[in-house]
Amino acid sequence: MPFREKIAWVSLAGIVAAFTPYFVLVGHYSGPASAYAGFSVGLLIGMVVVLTILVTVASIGVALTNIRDAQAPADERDHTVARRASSIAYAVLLPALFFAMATVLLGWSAIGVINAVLAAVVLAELARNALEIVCYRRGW
Amino acid sequence: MAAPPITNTIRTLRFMAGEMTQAELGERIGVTRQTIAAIEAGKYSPSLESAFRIAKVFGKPLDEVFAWEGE
Repeated sequence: MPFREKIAWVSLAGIVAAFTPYFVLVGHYSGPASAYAGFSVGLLIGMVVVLTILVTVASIGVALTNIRDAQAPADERDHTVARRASSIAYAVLLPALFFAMATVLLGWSAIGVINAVLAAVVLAELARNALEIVCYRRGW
Repeated sequence: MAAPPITNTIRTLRFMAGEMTQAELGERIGVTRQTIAAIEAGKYSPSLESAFRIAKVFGKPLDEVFAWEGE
């Protein structure tokens, strides 16, 4: 398995592991409305820290299993896979962002809109990593 | 994502070149071992530059290494 495919798996797993509980907890928040923003921002910072640690440790672990592959610069296939995955992920990001902007019209709070934008970015990142994996495994 | 309609004889050419490894070929043309494996398996169509480099490694014209099988 190419090193960069392993890293895409690590990123995908990390994003799922960090943001699934985030959106579940934020979505099911039942505390006082005045504390919602603080709860959401605090949780987000915590999840970003967890994600950073998870992905960094896992990436180091993956690199240590094959240092030579990890040190090799990205080649033309890696660049092509990254370009293709990014362009399709952008097509996911755009409508998701429009939906996030539309939440303003639905009367969502500022933190709700911010969470909708965050969800759009997370969705696009999931799509990008998943597409990289598909491109590496199945070709095109 | 269908496989590209391009076949190649790289596996045979590597065998005839004294069992040259994928890693060795990859090093000589500037791509990873996994990319050579993907090219051999028809999962990736190399750039024109890499295709020429591969052909040059084996001392063969391009059309003896790669063939178009599509319509």
